Amino acid sequence: MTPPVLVIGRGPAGMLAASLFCLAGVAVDLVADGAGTLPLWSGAWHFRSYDGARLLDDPWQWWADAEGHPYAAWSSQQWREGWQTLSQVWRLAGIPTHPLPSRNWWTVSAAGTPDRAFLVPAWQYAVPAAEPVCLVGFEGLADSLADVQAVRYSRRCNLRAEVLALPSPPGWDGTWSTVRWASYLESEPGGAWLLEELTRRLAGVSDELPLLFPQVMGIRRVADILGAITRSTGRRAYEVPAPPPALGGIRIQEQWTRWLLRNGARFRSGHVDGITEDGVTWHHTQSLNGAAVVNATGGVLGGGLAIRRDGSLWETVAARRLGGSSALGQDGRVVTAGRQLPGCDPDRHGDGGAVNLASAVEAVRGTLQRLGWQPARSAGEGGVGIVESH
Amino acid sequence: MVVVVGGGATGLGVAWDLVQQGVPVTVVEQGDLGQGTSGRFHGLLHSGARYAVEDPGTARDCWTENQILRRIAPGAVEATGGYFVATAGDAEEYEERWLLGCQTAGIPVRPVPVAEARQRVPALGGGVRRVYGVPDGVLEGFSLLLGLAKGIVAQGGAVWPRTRLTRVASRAGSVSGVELDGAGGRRTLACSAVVNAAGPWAGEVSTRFEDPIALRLASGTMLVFAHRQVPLVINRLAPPGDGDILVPHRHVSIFGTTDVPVAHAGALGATVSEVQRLMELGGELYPGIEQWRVLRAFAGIRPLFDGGISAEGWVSREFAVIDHGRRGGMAGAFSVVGGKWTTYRKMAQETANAVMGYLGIRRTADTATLRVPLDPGPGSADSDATPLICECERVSAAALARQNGSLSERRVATWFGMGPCQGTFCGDRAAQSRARVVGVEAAEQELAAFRAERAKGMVAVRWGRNAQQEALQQAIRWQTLGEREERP
Ligand SMILES: Cc1cc2nc3c(=O)[nH]c(=O)nc-3n(C[C@H](O)[C@H](O)[C@H](O)COP(=O)(O)OP(=O)(O)OC[C@H]3O[C@@H](n4cnc5c(N)ncnc54)[C@H](O)[C@@H]3O)c2cc1C
Ligand SMILES: Cc1cc2nc3c(=O)[nH]c(=O)nc-3n(C[C@H](O)[C@H](O)[C@H](O)COP(=O)(O)OP(=O)(O)OC[C@H]3O[C@@H](n4cnc5c(N)ncnc54)[C@H](O)[C@@H]3O)c2cc1C
Repeated sequence: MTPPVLVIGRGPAGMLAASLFCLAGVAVDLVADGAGTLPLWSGAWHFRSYDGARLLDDPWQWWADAEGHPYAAWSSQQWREGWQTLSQVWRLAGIPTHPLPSRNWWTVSAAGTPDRAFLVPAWQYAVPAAEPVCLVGFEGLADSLADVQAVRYSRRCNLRAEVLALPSPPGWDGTWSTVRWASYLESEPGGAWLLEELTRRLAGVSDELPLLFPQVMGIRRVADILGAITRSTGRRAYEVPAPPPALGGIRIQEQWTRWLLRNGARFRSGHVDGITEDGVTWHHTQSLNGAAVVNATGGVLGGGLAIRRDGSLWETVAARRLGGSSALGQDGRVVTAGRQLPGCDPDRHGDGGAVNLASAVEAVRGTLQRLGWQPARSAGEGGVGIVESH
Repeated sequence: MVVVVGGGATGLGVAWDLVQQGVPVTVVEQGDLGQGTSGRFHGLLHSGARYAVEDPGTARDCWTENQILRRIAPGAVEATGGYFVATAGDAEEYEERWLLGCQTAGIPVRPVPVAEARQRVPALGGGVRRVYGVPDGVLEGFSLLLGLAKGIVAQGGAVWPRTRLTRVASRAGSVSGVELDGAGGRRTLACSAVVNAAGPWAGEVSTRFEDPIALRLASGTMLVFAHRQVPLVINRLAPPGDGDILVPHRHVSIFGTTDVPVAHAGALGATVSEVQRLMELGGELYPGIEQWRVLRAFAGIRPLFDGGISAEGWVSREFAVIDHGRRGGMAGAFSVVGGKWTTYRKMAQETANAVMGYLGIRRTADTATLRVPLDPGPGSADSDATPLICECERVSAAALARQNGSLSERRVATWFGMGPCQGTFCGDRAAQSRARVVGVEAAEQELAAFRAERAKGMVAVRWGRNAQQEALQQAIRWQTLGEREERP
C-alpha cells in the first residue's frame, strides 16, 4: 500500500493543500503540533491589500505588474482558477462567502479602520465601495468601543459612521470572553435580548445604514442570528473582525476540519523533527511514512522556523540550521507552502491569503506530477481543478 | 518654595519629607514619574546582605530602611525573603567575610539546608554548596512612587511631570528661581532652594548651579522572564558581579544585571551581547534557564557618586548630599546622588535636613513612622463590573480609567501590557478607552509610543517563543488592527 502524503501544519495553507489532495483522491495525513493561525484572524483572505501604508483597490493589476514576488509569474487565469478552487472547497465544506469580487472588497478592521480583502466569509461586512455605516457596540465587550471606532472610520474614510450602543445583557460579568458572548447570543434568551434591545434603540440610527456588529454573533448560528436581525429590523447586518480569539477563523477551522475528516484526511498531533527517505520523524525520532511531504509550518509565527538564542535560524521539521536558503526540498520531495515560504511577509503586504492559495495549489500540483499520479476525480482546465462532487 | 528636580524615588522622597515639615514644594520631572532609574531597577528591597563585604555603610543603611519600608509602605513590599547561594565554584573564603559583614551590619542570616532550599526552589541546579536565608524582599517601585506623589499633592505640594528644569536663577549668589520648560511652554518659578535629585542626569543639572559634580554612569541590563520562576529573591554568594540576582516580581521574574560604563544618561537600551552574557551566567545557577520564556530586556542607569571608588574599582552605593553653597556654587542649591532605591527615604531625610538647615526650619515630622498613602495596587480590581482590558495582568476597564495620565503612565500604575503578550492584545483596547478622554488622535499617538516602548524591550531577546510572540504582535498590529502607518 502506498503511504499517504504528509502535510505538516494545519494552518490555512496546510488545510487547503490537504483539501486538494482529498479532492484528487489522494490519501493525506495532516500532522501538526498546534492549531495554526486560523483561530487568530477573521478568515478573510487577502489577495494583495496594501501598497506600503496605502490600501490597494485593484489586486489584479498589482499582480499583473508584480516583479520579484515568488508568484509574480502567475497569470490572471491562474489566480482566477485558484480563487475559484478555494471558494469551491469552502462551499463544499459549508463555509459561505461573498462572491469573488473584481476589485478588493471594502471591509472594516477590528480597530474600526477601513481595510481591503478578497475572499470574505459571508457573515463579515464586505462591500464594493465604502459607505456610511452604523457600528454597534456592546458595553461590556472590551473590543467593542464603537464610539471610538466610528471616529476612526469617519476620519479615515471621510464618511459618516453612526453608533448604536447596547448595554450588557443580564448575567454578564467582566470575565466574559468573546466565546462566552457568542454562546450567549446564540442561546434563545440571548437572541431575544438582542432583538429587543435593537428594536428599542434603533430609532436614532439613520434608515439606510448597515449594522456592523463585533464578531461575537454566535459560534455556529451566525447566519441565523444576522438573518433574524435583518428580518426584524429591515437592515443589513454583518460582523466586523475582532482581535484573537477570532470567531471567524474558529468557525472556518471547525467546518473545514469536519469536511476534511469526512473526506478521509487523518489529523495527527505531534511535533515533526526530522525528514527521512520515507517521510518524516516525529515525537523524537519515531518515523512516519509518507509518499511526499508538504511543509506548511508557518514560519516563525507558526513554529516552522525557530530562532535560537545565538540568532541562528532553524527549520524545525528538519531540525536543521538554515544558511541562506531552505535546507529542505532539494529533491522536490518536500515542498513548502504558506507563511513558511522564504520572503513571505503578509503583515506588510496584505497578501497572506494569496500566498497560502498559490503555494498550496503549486505544492499539490507538483507533488501529484512528481509521483506520476493522475487525480482520481476529474480535474478542470489547468492547475489542480475541482469538480463538485454533489 | 523649594523646587525638587527629578520624579524618581529620591526626588519624590525629598518632596514628601519637606511637605511633612510644612515646606511648600514643587517637583518637576522632565518625563513621566519613574521614567529614570527608579522605574528601571531590579525590584529588590535589599536586606543589605549584597553589600555586606564591599560596602558596609550601604549594607547597614539598607537593612535599617528595609525594616522601615515594611512599616511605612506595606502595600508596596512583598516580604518574600531571599537566599544567598554558593556553588561549588564560589570561594569559601568570601563566604566567611560575607557572614562577618552581615553580622557587623546586624543583618539576620539563617543557614538553610541545601535539600530544603532545592525543594523550595526547584529551579536551582545541582552545583549548590551552601545556602543562607536573608530578609530580602520585593519592592513595587511604581506603586510607591505613585503613592508618594499622591501624598505630596494631598499635603499641598505640586508634582509636575513633563516639565524640565532648564535654568536656575540667582540673586547675590543665592538661588532665586528656576526656569522650566513644559507642556505649557517656558515659565519661571520663584523659589528659595533647589534640590537636584536628577539621578543619572544629576551631573548635567548640577552645571546649572555653577558647581558641576562628577558621576560615574553605568548601564545595567535586566531580563524579564514569564512566570515566577522562584518564590523568593536569589543572590549569588560571590563578590557582587554580573547576573547574580533573580527577583520574583508579581507574575514574572527579573534577572540581572550587568555593569557597562556609559557616557550619558540618555544611553538606554539592552544590548544583545549583554543579554547573551546574562543568559550564560544564569545557566550556572539555573540550568533550565534556556527553556524559560523571556519577555523582554531593559536597562537602567546607575547614578553612582564618583567620590567613592575603592582600589578594586568598586563604586560605593553610598550616597552623598552636596550643599553647593558651601563649595563655592550657588547658595540654596543642593544635590543628592548615589544610593539605592531601598535607601531613598534616608537619602531624602538627610537632603531635607540640609535644605531646612539653609532655610532655618526645624524638623517636626519623621518620615520613618509616616505611612505612605498607597493605592490598592495593580490587580486588585478583578471584581469590577467592567470588562477586562488586559487578560495577562487582569486589569479591568474601570481600573484603567481610574488612573490619570498617558497610556504609559497607566501601564505603570495598573501593570497592563506587562504580561506574556506584552500589550499585543490590550494595547489597542486601552488606547480606545483612552480615546474617550483625550480624543482619537492623541490616543493613537500614545498607542504608538506604548508600542515603541514595548517593542524596544523585544529587540535584544528575539529568540524562541518570544520571537514567535513578536511575529504574532506584528500580525495583529498590521493585519487585524491596521496599525500600518508608522511603517517605513
Ligand atoms: C493575527 C493574524 C491576522 C491575519 N490576518 C489575515 C488577513 O486579514 N488576511 C489574510 O489573508 N491572512 C491573514 N492572516 C494569515 C497570515 O498572514 C498567514 O497567511 C497565515 O497565518 C499562514 O498560515 P500557514 O498555514 O502558512 O501557517 P500557520 O497557520 O502558522 O500554521 C502552521 C502549522 O504548522 C505547524 N507546525 C509548525 N512546525 C511544526 C513542526 N515542526 N511539527 C509539526 N507541526 C508544526 C503548527 O502547529 C501549525 O499547525 C493573519 C494571520 C494572523 C496571525
Ligand atoms: C540596573 C539597576 C538595578 C537596580 N536595582 C536596584 C534594586 O533592586 N534595589 C534597589 O534598592 N536599588 C536598585 N537600583 C538603584 C536604584 O534604582 C537607584 O538608586 C534609584 O532608582 C535612583 O533614584 P533617583 O530618584 O535618584 O533617580 P531617577 O529615578 O533616575 O530619577 C531622576 C529623575 O530626574 C529626572 N530629570 C533629570 N533631569 C531633569 C531635568 N533637567 N528636569 C526635570 N527632571 C529631570 C529624570 O527624568 C528622572 O526621572 C538599581 C539601579 C540600576 C541601574
